[in-house]
Amino acid sequence: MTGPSLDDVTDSPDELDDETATQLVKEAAEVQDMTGEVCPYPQVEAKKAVQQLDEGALLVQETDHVPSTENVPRAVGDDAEAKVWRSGNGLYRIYLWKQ
Amino acid sequence: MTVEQIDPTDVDTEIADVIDIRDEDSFAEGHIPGAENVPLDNLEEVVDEREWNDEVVVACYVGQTSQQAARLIDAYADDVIVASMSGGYKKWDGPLRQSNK
Repeated sequence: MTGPSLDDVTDSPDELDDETATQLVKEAAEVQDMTGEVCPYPQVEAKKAVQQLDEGALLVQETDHVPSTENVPRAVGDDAEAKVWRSGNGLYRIYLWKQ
Repeated sequence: MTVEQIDPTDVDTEIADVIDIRDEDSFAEGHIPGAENVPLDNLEEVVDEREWNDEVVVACYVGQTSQQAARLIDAYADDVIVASMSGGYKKWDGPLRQSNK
């Protein structure tokens, strides 16, 4: 494949830098390991978890499924503000702050 | 980046290539007659080389990941109309065909 990858055609939210991403994981109210899982399970689990959070609390989802970085923030909609962190080796974290 | 959405009731398998990006097990359990199983991970490997029909419909579980897959195909396939089946198999009300893995 010489052209765009799946990563390039996925509309993810703004990215976090490595340092911020690492620090925020320590502060998260919940970290969900969604590696190996595909749609719609991550969306469903994110929506359920966000509903349980206090306002301003952070949910982090770890995923190796690129489309989740677009689909999960879309699924929670206005209930959370989303950012994403890309490890560079196929692992992603989706950060969701309860609004 | 947006991609065309097609209602499941408007999918014409006589005209369009239906690309089912779910996993092999889900495909074997039941798929749109005429659909071809290209799991998402495989799609990245073959998207550049394979020949695409003039019309392609991408189907997944709930119609979300199919949007990214449709964009990927659209990025490689010239003069091809690529659409994502809205609602995915969750909304598919037509016949299903089973197959052996």
